[in-house]
Amino acid sequence: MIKVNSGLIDKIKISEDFNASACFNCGTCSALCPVGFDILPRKLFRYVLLGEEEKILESTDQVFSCLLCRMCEEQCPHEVNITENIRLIRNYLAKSKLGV
Amino acid sequence: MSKVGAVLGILNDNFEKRKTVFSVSEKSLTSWAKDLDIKRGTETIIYTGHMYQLMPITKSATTLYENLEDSPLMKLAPVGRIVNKFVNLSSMSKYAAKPERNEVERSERCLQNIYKLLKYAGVEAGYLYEDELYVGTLLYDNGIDEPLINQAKTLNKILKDNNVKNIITVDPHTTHMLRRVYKKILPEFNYEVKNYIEVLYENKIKPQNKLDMTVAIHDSCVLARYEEIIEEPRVLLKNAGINYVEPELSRKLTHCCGGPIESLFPKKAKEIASKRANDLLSCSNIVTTMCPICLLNLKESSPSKDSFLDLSEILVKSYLQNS
Repeated sequence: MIKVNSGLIDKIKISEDFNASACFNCGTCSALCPVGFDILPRKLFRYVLLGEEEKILESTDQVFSCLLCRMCEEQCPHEVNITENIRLIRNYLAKSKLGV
Repeated sequence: MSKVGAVLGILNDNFEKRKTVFSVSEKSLTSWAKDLDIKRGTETIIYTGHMYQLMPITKSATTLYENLEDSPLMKLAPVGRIVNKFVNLSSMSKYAAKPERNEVERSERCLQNIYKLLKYAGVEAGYLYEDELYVGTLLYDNGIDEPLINQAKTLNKILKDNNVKNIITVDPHTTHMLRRVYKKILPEFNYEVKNYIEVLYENKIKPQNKLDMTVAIHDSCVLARYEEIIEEPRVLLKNAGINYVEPELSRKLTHCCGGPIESLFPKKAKEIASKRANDLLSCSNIVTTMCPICLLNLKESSPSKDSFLDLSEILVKSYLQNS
């Protein structure tokens, strides 16, 4: 069973730069990713938008293994702020789940 | 607590308690400047952000951590965080993994090169010495924003007290933090911030001799994609007579060196660096980097360690040395 946290998006979207909903799932972002990000940004963003908190928590290592190098953003046809979105997901995880 | 949480917790605790993420003495941070007679403060300053100085200790700490990464000892990381609140573990780590003297000297030499190049370009830059602060890139990148607001306020006061108007940064991460991030988190943080490469380019420095060499360029992700500083280093190299060559992924499509995740996932960082180093070395047996993190990661992941040179190390040979 999937537990949904409907308030999750408000906790993560603390900056107007967070624009995960602009992602339309094309997957182009991952074409040249140097990490070979295990969880694609589009999948991660869907988890956030759907409030699937447990899935995000399970992906902690992958979220923190992103280089924030912006190669993905160079490819993105929809100007999604991928790295800033990931940085804000990190902010949520660090504050709320990792005890930083 | 997860491994990620414990490591980030230690870095954050260090920053809040000790104003830095790794322990480096004031003397180590400022010793590069001791024979250069640099004025304290002044309207235009060179700002090191501690990045070059941190690299030797980062190298030794990362090697130590790489050996521990998959070992059962990592289960003790949360305990380490608790202990670190009382005893500075980062400070202890320098005994477990002592920085190499030649690495320390090289970092200092790079900073001296940059200062001398700026002077040659007609820029009289001062320095804040021990008042200079680490800008917190490692925390910001990992989503830890809150402690940075205080750091930005403290730095803003130091800069105001020294009547600073212009800041010349030496590495891409400090450039980005001071030029964009600090302005975002503290609107009154309002200084003209330029990377030294931009300053040398804008001042149209003239080489004293032309070098006959081929060099592969590794663009820093932050310089090329975040700050769009792409043509400037190429013009400086070309004017120095250098035949520069580009790997398949360069300029705005440059491939990351892996450095940003070396503190959390050193093995993965090394794997990424190794791939990039091979791509670069297939273009030329000399490679130039423009960021101390790129230099460290690419060099350490390749058997051809002498092939990797900081841009400043190449520029001084042409611009500051008579043939």
